[in-house]
Amino acid sequence: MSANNPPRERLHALDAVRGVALLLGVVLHTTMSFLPGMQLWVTVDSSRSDVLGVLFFVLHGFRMLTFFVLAGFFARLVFHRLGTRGFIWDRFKRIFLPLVVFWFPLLMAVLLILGWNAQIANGGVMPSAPQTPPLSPNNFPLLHLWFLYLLVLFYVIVLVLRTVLTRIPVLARAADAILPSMVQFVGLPLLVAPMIVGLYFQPNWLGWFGIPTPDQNLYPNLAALLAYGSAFMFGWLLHRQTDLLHKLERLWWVYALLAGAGFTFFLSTLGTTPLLRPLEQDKFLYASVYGLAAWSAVFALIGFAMKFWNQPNTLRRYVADASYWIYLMHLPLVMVLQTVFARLEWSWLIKFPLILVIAFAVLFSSYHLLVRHTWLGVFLNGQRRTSPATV
Amino acid sequence: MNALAMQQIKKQYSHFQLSLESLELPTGSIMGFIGANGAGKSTTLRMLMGLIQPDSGSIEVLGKPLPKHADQVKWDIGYISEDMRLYPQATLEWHMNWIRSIYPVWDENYAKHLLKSFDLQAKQKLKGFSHGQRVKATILLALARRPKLLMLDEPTTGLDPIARSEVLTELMAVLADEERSILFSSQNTLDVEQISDQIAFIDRGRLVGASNKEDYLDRWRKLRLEVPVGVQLPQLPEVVSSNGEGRLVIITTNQYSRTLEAKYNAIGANVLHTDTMSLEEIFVANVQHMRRNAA
Amino acid sequence: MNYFLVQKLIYKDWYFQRPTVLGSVLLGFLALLLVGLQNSIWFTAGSILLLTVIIAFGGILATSLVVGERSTQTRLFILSLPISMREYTTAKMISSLLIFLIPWTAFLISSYILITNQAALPDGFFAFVLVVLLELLLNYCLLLSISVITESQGWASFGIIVGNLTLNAFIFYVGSLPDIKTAIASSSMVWNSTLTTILLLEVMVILALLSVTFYVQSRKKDLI
Repeated sequence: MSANNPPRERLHALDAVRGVALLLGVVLHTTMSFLPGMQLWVTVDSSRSDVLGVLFFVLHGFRMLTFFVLAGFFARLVFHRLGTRGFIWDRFKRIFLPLVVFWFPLLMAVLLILGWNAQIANGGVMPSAPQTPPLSPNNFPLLHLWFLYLLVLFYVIVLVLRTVLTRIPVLARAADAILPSMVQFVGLPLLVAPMIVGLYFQPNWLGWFGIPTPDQNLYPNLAALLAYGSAFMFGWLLHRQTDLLHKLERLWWVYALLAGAGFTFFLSTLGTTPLLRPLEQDKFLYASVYGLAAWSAVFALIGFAMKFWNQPNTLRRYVADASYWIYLMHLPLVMVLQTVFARLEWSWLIKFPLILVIAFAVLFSSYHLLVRHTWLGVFLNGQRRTSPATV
Repeated sequence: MNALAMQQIKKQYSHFQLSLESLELPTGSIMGFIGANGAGKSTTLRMLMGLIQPDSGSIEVLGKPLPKHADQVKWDIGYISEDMRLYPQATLEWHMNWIRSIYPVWDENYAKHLLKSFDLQAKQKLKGFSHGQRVKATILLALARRPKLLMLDEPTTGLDPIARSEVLTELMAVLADEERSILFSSQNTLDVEQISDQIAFIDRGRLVGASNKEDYLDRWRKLRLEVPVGVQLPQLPEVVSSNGEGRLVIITTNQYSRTLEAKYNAIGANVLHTDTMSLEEIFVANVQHMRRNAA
Repeated sequence: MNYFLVQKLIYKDWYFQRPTVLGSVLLGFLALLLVGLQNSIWFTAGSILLLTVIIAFGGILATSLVVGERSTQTRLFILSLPISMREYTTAKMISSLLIFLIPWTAFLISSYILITNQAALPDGFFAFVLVVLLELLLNYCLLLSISVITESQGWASFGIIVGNLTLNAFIFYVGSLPDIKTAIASSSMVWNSTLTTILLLEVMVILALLSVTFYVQSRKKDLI
């Protein structure tokens, strides 16, 4: 057992998965003006698509859960590399500071775009500003940076838990004994249980939207706290026995099938149109299927990456490095592009890919020119790249 | 009569070429096939099993040409390979029953004897077997059908000394029957030295020597010479290499005879010592010599 | 062709796959039980579970019988027996097909019984079930061809995922054809021309896949 020994090799696959999870966020937010049904976003496109409804549903189903598993994994890696004080300082610089520094400008940008859209909707005249409650912990639009806020919370929790729980060595051994069964079906229900409980007891749970996004205030909702918290903990413990990752290599397609089955169940019973109605019947069934499908998708993606992406690769490494900056910055740009394209009478088949191409082109160039070789890169990714695309 | 013979074999891979001029194994003998990792041992053995076809050249095993008659000839060949695996979820007994149901010639008493002398549990599942036990189980399954030709690809690699001696003892016993022949590849020259009577060396896809073992041991010698100042050593055709400068020189020869010593004495060099060489030393010297010639 | 040896190899494959067959039959019957509950949510859940069980079973079969035999290096042991490549391929194809057909036939028969005995489900629905089950068999044959020819775990898993995705599109497309819609809704089994054309096409693609596999295999020179 390699328990407790940090892995010697760099797990290239996990870097790639983290990058992919973040970049898929750009794709996810781009689908949001094309979704069928009610308007959920700053703007709504003239061409809607059920296909993008399915894409949104699936991406939303596993993306952040995957991210938090990896965040937990890398958190323990950093913790054991730098020690407690080094860990706190590192997380302060790379997670907390970006949250504080980027939140306000991003909020202003999003508000401007909202205003712009209101103006368009009002026939070119700026409507009077709607009454908004003052900023308070109960009303705090975190935007897409909510994940940084949640991470900071989890870091604090894990540090506290650690100091207490490491005094009871039997707990670590128990965790090491249970974890292998969790990635090999038998213990999977145990892993999914917190998420199922969270979704089931979440008041007015909108089944179609899975885990409610905790981006409106500073008190994360129960479902998000339990689901993402358990994912973070699982990732932290997974770092104790990285050989388990290799088990997923062989099982990834089985998990992909399970995830597909679960998501198909949702889409075929609730439809491909975003459904803003709380679930009333069969809540437990839906919560269980969603939890199992989401976790299966997480394992499928990680297993897939372990099998096909675990070799060092310059391009993948570059994308992984760029993903953090791109994710932080993408929202206003995507919203502007969506607004510009919204009233064009083109098919979503053209507009959707076009927005993605433009957004990624701008975001990758901005990363390459402004971040990669500058102090910003040091700030976000920890170290400066001396020459383009070094491994 | 030869148990196997191959002539002018060529097989091209993207990073490797196998090119064997001639390899023969007389019936009733045991040949050790020595070479480093990646020298082409496994490829050669797989060709002799008809699992791989050469690009050109002829192969004859037990009197029949391959690959045409491969499935027929394989009835009389016991082939095992270091990277061959049995079914982990089944017991050894299941494997024995299954092989017995295929081969009418299966010798149950011999199988029982091997089970005992290899110290194996028939009721145990293969997934519980150690590497050594697994190799012994594979050998058991091959031997108990009493094949005319045994081809063993690195049977002793990774075995502990006890398992190794068990395996070698049973292989020796096979040869008590003069109709049976064995070809086995190995990196371990000690095993080969211990039980084989024929030896073939292979390096980088080419045979660098094949003959009987005694011949090798007789022909190869190391001579330690004391060379007085002013005496120049001549380039003799029987010398494979010479090491050392100045007064003390070590000569390696592959065509030793008393006359060699006489030649050196005649020019004023003093032969201090003539040493026999182990098979390992011969192998290394031979490979180095051939590589130098090729370069 | 040595049929005796082919038979031995088929027996061996069957012997090792018995637990998987049993497991998939049990799970499949559980799924059919849900389908029979006469509740639309459980009907959907049961159908999806049944499809997933069949796809996963096919995937496990193809990867463990064909690809696994290479990656676990048991194939070398089998090839050391007096068999030819043709016999090996024949045995593999027959055993993989036969073993797959065991649960497949069980599900076909039980869905027939279920549909004809349940008033809520029109009998014509069985025709659609047959189309979908044949498509699953086709998917499995495709997977088998990919596995036998490439012998690669990666390609096999891609085959499974792609097959599964096309299945969704297939069910959606076929289910939306007017002729099929009327056939599904009718209270007795209707075999109109659209339906028979689809069934015939499926059978022909299956046969074509099997022949291509045999052809490609017969041209391979090296067994290892």
